[in-house]
Amino acid sequence: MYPEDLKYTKTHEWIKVKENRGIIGITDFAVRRLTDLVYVELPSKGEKVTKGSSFGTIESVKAVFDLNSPVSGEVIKINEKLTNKPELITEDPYGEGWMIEVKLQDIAELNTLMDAKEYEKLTKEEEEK
Amino acid sequence: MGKEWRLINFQASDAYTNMAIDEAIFLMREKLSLPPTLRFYSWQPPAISIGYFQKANDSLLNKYKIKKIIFVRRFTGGGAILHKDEITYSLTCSLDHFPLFKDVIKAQRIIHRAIILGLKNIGLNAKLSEKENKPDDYFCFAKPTSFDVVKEEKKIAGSAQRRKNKSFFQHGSILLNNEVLPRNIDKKEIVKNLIIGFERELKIRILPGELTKEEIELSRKLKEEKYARDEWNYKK
Repeated sequence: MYPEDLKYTKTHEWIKVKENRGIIGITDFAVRRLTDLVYVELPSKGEKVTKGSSFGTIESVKAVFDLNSPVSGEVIKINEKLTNKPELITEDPYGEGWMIEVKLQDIAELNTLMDAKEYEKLTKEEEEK
Repeated sequence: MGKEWRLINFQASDAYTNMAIDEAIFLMREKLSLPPTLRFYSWQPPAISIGYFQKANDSLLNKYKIKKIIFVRRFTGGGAILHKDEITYSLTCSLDHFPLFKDVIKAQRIIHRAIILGLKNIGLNAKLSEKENKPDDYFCFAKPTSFDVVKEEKKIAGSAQRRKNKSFFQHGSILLNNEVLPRNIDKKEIVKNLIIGFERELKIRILPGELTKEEIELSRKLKEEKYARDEWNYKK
């Protein structure tokens, strides 16, 4: 089961929205595929992110993954703790392992994201492939 | 779909061109729905490539920089490699072509098995490492980690990946110096046998092909604006 108060992307990122701000991270489904996370690269405060485009990268043992933003907007906060403790993403992907907070440019973009039930269906399909 | 692959045949280029071509193939794959692609190449002049997240001012790398050996940052992970007496390959496909590649380790293992099969054809007996080591050395070939290709416990092939949406990319280097090779053998001959290994292990056909006009144009741009620049190579 995935947290019901979040919205999800097909590429396994989540967003938690409060008014016009959204906190972004990756799901525990994505985390399970990332054995031994070693580095995270996040944007700086003030940078613009675009829905569907890369906002950062993450390296597990020998593989670099692009992180895709679920929405467009401006980065207002980043989780500084991840620089020295990337394992927080693995240990607590929906809590301490959050990555960035974004000021949303267009709230309507949220309608294109999946809810927990739809996301669960997607992950089941992916596992069966 | 996914059974017929495109081969970009063996050629030697400089470090910046090599990395720019690889990234162009990776980025254009999704855009132009290109077939899965396998490319073999070497580095002329010899150079060092470092992993995406590695530091450019590491003391080990500095020793080579003093000797004027150029280095380039890859867009894949992993450790530093001295590209001399080796063959590099890159493999790009969609995860829809190869759902098994969704898992980092499984993908690495399958590709390494293809390499082992290819090397067997030239009389080189290698196997997958069973060592549980974590990759903690600056240089990729310093010691084998799980599922690297080894010959008598010496690492002879390592790899690193990049993933973006459904696009999968793996870089790898196969060490082929006199200590490793069973006899004096031409690199093109080795590549021919590696291709056979890939065809058998992945159950695909690999057909000679060429880069598209778009890939060539993008690779020129990437070389000029990214790989040949300090902003990228000294990024970390």
